[in-house]
Amino acid sequence: MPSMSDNEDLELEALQRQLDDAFETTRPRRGFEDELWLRMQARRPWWNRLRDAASAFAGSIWEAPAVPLGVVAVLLIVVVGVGVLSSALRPNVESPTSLSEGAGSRYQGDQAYFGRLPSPQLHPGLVDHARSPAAAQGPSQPEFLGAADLYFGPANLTWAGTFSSSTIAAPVYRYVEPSADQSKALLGPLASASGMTVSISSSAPELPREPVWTVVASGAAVPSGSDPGVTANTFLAAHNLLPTWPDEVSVQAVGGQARVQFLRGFSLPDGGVAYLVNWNGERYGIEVDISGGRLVATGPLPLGLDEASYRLISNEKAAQLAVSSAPASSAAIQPVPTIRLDRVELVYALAISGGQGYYEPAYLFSGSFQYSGHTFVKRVLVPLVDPSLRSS
Amino acid sequence: MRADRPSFEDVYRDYLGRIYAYVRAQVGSSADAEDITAQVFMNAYQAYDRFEPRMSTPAAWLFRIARNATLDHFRAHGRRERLRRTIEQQPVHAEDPAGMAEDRMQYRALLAHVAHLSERQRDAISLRHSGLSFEEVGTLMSCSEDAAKMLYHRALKALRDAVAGEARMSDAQHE
Repeated sequence: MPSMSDNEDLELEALQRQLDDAFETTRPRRGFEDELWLRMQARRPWWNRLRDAASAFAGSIWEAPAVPLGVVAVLLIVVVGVGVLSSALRPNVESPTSLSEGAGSRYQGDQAYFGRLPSPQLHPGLVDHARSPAAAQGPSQPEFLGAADLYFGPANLTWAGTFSSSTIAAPVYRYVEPSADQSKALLGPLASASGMTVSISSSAPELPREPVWTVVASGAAVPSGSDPGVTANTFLAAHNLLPTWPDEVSVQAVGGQARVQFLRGFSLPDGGVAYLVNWNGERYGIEVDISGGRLVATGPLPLGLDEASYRLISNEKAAQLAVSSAPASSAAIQPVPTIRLDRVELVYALAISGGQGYYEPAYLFSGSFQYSGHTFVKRVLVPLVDPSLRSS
Repeated sequence: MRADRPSFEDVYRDYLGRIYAYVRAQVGSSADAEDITAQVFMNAYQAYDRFEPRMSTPAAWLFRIARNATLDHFRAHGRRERLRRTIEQQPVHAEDPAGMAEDRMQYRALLAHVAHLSERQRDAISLRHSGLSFEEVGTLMSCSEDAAKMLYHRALKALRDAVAGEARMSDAQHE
């Protein structure tokens, strides 16, 4: 039978174990670590950042004894000078991506930070299985080859293209899922307009897709005219539905049917535009289908977006990830094709998590190959936000 | 010759959780713990150039900053008042509305008990269970290693008594 002292020892040992577990499992909430790191980076004096950059540069060439010190000094002056000038001229633009930079050095100091981000990705299982006209005329086609001749299965990939810019500067945008009442209010009088059917759908994280409005109109509610682009534009303008973001208009017309797309873009700090792509890697935005005096329009709710800067990976790293990425589908062509990815485009892709949607910059790599007499396209989406800042 | 100094980011990533847990046990509130932890690392970041690895481990150096920040916090806000508000407004089991696992709730309750110990007992328990050796605890608390051990064991017994006392009260209320 244990003595009083033995019992006390056992009690204290148990308490110590509980304390060990308690201290081991008590951790700050998710996201706090990165938020705090961001704040710390933001408060660093600029001369410290400059000094670190110079130190890193000097360190990288320290082991090359053949480099005369004078040359090092001149290079340092040039690098530092260019850096200072660049900062002065573009105070709100991120510095060029570089693998050698210290973590967090590319954060924008005073801007919002959304915590770890979900990863956008392609979803080949959601490809429309309708065959493309070209493929439908050919010999038997594997079922996993969906519309637009896309192939998502395993492949031996190489990168043989060039990037249009050596630097990447693209913020992340976020919306918060609106309530039903908020969604209705965003559409204003249209939500209760007569003569048209108006519906609103909330976000669909599995696609993913942001909240969208859909309007079905017919008869007098559809503007007359033979140019589908003008018809669509007139209709959207009349109902205050024209894009509030940069867009590119695409018109496809076959017979009496037409589809007008206002492809959604996001402004980049350098003045350019990166377009939003869906789960197939296709650009999308507002779509207006016109057929036989009937018009169906659908587009994203005009939600307010928050903006934040995140550390992005370099072009080189993105290319490495593209060729080593796991296939988005296991359905494979045999033998496994070898594909040269030779095109790349800076795009935005949506990922939804926790009632919030994130438009994130990504590179969409693509390359084509021949199979069974047809040309197919392989696409690879590489999110650009540093993997350490993503949750999946 | 370059000092063998880890990058500050490595130190930050390695110790953030432990420092937070230490502070959390001191103040009993996750919001205050975040504020103080942030202050600790802000201060550490600014002072990292002066950190001398040959004189101290990163753990001892950071926990000293954390200890000072916690003491400053209590001086500024009044420990008793702070604790009272914390306990009244944030019952330990209400911080996770989704219902955390039972053991997590027990740990929160245990840390709340730690927060009620005397300052030195609280410190001894928190520093020791944050992974510091008795020698490091003693250095931080300005006493010998043996004194730190004794202080720790007295604190452990006081904690056990506090936990047992609450259990007795809870049993009496249910009868």
